[in-house]
Amino acid sequence: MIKKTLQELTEKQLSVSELVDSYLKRIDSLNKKLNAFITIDYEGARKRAKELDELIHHENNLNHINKKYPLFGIPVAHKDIYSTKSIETTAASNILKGYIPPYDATAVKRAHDAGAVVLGKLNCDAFAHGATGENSDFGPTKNPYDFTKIPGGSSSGSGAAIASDLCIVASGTDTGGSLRSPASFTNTTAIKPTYGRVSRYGIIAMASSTDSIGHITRTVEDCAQYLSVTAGFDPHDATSSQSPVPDYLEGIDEGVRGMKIGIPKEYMTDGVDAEIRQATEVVIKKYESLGASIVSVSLAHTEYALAVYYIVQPSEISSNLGRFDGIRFGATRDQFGAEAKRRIMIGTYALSTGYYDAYYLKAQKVRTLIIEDFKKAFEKVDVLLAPVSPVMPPKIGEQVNDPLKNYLMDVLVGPANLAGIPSLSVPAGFSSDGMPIGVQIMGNHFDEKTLFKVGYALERELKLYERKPDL
Amino acid sequence: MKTTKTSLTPEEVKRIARLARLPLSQEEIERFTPQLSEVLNYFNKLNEVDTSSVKPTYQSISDENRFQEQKLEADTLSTEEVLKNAKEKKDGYVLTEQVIK
Repeated sequence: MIKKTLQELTEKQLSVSELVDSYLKRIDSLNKKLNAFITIDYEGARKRAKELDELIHHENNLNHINKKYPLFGIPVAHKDIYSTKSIETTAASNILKGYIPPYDATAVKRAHDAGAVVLGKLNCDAFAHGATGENSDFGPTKNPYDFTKIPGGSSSGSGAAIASDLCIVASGTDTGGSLRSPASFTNTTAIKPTYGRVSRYGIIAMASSTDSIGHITRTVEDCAQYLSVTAGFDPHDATSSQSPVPDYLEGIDEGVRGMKIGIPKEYMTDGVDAEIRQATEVVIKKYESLGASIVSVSLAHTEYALAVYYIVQPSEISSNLGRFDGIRFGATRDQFGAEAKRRIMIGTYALSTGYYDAYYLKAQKVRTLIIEDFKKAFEKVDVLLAPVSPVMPPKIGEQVNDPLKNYLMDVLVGPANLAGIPSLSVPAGFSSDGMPIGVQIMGNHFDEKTLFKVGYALERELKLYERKPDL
Repeated sequence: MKTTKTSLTPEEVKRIARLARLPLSQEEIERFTPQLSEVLNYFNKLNEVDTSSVKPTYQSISDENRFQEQKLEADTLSTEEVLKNAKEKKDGYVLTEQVIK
């Protein structure tokens, strides 16, 4: 869709202003139903569109536009934990209501410099704490395929917005599945890049050792194209990687012939919903028919990953949310929602005197074993294929008073974050009652390129992006 | 396999809240006590794993420490921009309550 839109804009079949207006109109008519956006920046988006229209008007060499602005005029929306200069940024929490960042996150700036137009800010679980989108102080986002169900989280608005064509790229973050979960429940595609592949600068921190900055799109190609813009070293983030950024689109259609795809048996247990396992089996068969060899592998410590994740992540949250003192910005700490309070409490407990060794240190040791499992697997296979969610999306409100049950939804996505490896979530099929199912393709550190290749091969076969929700 | 049962008391929850500077209502303390106990109990699963000869991981990407030259950047924020979101300020400073007696 990026490619097609760019073509329409540069061939002047359509102006950026017309394009942006049509998206704003669509958001206007659908956002009340979906609650995907917290802020819609009509004025800023129109102003930016005009600016780009003037630019193209004065540019005779269109190749120049294509080269310098790979996202020329592309309407994007950012998860509301991305700092956006002069656009309110709330982290979907009352504690930050009214906060106007004085600067852009690096990922926002890079998209802007590439020609993107920001339509607004997307709903999410407050501070990205959640797998359902229900922890937003601005109300839950609805699943476009069934308004009574959750769309996945924490990047809930990102998944719903892409599924409903409210923008072309929706940014998000994935600390323990927060991009892959909504992608799998909304028939969309998400990349959780390698840790450090995209700068975390200006993104409101959740768990600093696993926060990954990615996005949701309708197609694998769009996903790859946008990552080419956001990836790369940033002097403002010391953990961002200096390893070179490849051209993710180059060779994306090469197929999977001769590739080895590993199926971790711990991800296909009885604990995973039968329909989700079935959809994954169909995908496995498809890859086999495309010439890949399927290899069964074991990631022996998978069953401990969730406990590790739910110690490490709240520990880092308790530290990161310590900066909310109500003095320099934001309201006082009583304004945190219930989930942020719970996680701050768990983290504070795990790091407190007398408990540190039993919880935090123990978790970081088991984390080493989980990473070793992945290392061994990638000696044998090119990528790993597994379901994203163990369950189909629950009804909104169904499990809000059961934190542990919500945490268990992260069981198949958290391990990639602990290991820092990249993972691509792609549509795999639909359940008998018409809800989307996704699978994830995990790869070795900095091997996003292979993930896009593998994801593209499936997308070309299934063409699930054509199946849109009835809104 | 060692299994220990973790059960927090409302007093412990209050103590943790104080450490975390979180003002909790009585209702929140009562609601969080069983919820947090259940989560902490789940963590005891890790006792099954022998980690006596395992080193902890603090970062998943094996990058080395990186040092940055200290220099003033041209695009740094102005004092006005930095203080824009503070509720109380005076003469380019943030005002707070007195913390040292």
